[in-house]
Amino acid sequence: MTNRERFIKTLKCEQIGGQVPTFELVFYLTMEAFGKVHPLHRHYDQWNQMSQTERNLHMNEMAQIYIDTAERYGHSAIFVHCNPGDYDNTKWLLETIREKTGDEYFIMMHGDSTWAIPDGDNMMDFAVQMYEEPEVLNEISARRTEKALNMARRLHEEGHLLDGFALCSDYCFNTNPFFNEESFDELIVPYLKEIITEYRKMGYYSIKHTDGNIMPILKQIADCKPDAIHSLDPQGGVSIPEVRKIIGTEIALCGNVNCGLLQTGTEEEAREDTLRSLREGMAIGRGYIFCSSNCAYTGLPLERYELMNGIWREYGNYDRV
Amino acid sequence: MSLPEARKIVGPDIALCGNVNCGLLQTGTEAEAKADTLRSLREGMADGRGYIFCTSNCVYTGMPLERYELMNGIWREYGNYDLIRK
Repeated sequence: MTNRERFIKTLKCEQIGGQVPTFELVFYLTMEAFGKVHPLHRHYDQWNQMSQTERNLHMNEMAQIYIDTAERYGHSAIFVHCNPGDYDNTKWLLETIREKTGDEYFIMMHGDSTWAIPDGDNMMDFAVQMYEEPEVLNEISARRTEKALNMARRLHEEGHLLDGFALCSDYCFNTNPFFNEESFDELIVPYLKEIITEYRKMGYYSIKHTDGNIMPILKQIADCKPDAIHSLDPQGGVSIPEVRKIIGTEIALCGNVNCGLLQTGTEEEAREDTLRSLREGMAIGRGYIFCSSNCAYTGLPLERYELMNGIWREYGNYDRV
Repeated sequence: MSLPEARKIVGPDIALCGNVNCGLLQTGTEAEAKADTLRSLREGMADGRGYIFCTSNCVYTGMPLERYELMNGIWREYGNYDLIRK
């Protein structure tokens, strides 16, 4: 089986045996790992001024960084962050990765149209609008959903360059969701359900990501039928066994390795937490994708990511368990 | 801008930098780019001091690298006060 096939079977919660799939939403540490600036750390304001030769070199290098990351760390999926992010350059980068790797990897990109927790500048206005003008927020969600689906349709018509989307709007703080259950039902659920359903009709898989304590809204998220739920943030008190009790065994789970312990815990704490995630994630013998509970973010010590990755290589295997 | 005219106004005690025509580097023929680079060197070095050789802007995004390297090669060959004196 290719990495892509193993990843897809896991999203379908089928047994695969062998190594548990792994990936990261972003692996930012490419300068330390490969001596290359991560695509999201690049400023391409002068992209259109570049000669075609220079654009080709940048595009090939970005594609290669994603591929090198997947190869070095055994990732089954590549989350492509397109930079520049317009349609033509997105298509070019996806095609370049496909040309270099064929169907070896599951390829995904951003594709959420639902509201996330607003930033500090807008939080008050947004919170007021949630109660006084929910219909305005929903009109914006409807437009954003249509825009995201149009992008997905175009890429689908170009030869299905993508396998799926990661829906990365964060809904939750560590203590609780920003949206209470009623607001979540009114402002998020209809659009989350629609975008997942429509992606599925086009053959795309959907991984719903959100940090924080998702437990109060977990059933609502699960009812929107994502193929997988990502992050399972232990810093938000999320536990894989507790999640499984609520959503059952037919939605895949991704993550749960505590980024706080990876970053600032002792090596022993990081190791124990990684082993715990693997053990709990693999408990039902299927439907688990091993990864951090956020991403390999800028500032995370590379050696800690490599510690986690090494433990996965040694213990993340269904056959050996 | 012409280096000799600038010198007349500022005198010999302010250094001058640049004057290689970026337009010719970008879109001129190779012969035009080469001739303009030699002209800049000749005029800039005329006082025997106070000249810093460079383009009249920068090596901007989109400039063909081979044109910058042509200009740089000419500087290596002809941009030397000692060789001129000989």
